[in-house]
Amino acid sequence: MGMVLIRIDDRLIHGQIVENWMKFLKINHLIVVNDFVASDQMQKVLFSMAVPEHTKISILTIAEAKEAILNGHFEGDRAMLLFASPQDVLNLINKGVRIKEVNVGGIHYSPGKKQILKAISVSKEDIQAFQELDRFGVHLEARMVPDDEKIDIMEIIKRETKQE
Amino acid sequence: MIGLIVITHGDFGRQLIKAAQVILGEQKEIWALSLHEKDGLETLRERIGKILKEGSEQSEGKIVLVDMIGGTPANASLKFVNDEKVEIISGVNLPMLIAGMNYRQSLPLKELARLIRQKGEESIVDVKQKFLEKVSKVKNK
Repeated sequence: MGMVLIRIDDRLIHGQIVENWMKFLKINHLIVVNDFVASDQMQKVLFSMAVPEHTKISILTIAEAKEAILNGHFEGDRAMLLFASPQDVLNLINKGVRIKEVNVGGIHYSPGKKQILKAISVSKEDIQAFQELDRFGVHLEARMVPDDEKIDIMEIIKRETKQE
Repeated sequence: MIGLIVITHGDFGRQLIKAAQVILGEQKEIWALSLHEKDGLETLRERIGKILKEGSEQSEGKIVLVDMIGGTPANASLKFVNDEKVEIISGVNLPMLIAGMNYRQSLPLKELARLIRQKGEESIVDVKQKFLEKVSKVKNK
């Protein structure tokens, strides 16, 4: 119960989430934590259309998510929290929320980023954020879909940063 | 586990399975049959028959998903219409295949076939219209 999965995936809600993770973990409350989406009515409608009818969905700013979590709003749910970046997760932790484990599903490539796994490309800022999360004791597991092998993303980041 | 066979003109079915596996991960008990220019009705029937025989003793049955009613994949599948352990559905698309993969361990054959058909029917949506309706509802609140 409570927060069953916390995931970093910059596509936020999409097929892998709705058809695979939610069913696999029997999620009944999907929570997008993203300042930009939460303040944009069009984006909110777009993501609310991506889930099956009757699915409970919340789209919160990081500040709102902090309040909801600290007040135990998700305790009675099987909740899945979606973040677009490691910086956003770090931001939430810096506001006083404790997080033990984060699944990293997808961060897409753009110029200036380095691809470290099939679905994960990171910028310098992403790497710093992951390192910071690691220092907070957050276990970071890269896995796109439930059946994939779990990969320790810090192992890969350590290897990558050594090479430079 | 109920088996899934996707039979289509060209490699559509093979690629459709790949697309579904991007979302759900690798799958077992799934076959694609592609109909190419050189293939006739009888050769396709034989290939379907071979797949249907695989593990048929202990199998909970198989669902044949074809691309289009009236096309050779559908026509060839009809040879097996009297097989109690075979269901045949046309109009295969990604939501149908995903539903088949997601529920084939939890539903019996006939119910799975009904669900796949229902998911297919529900999946055809005027996305632009639906989006605009939702936006106008939000604005009028």
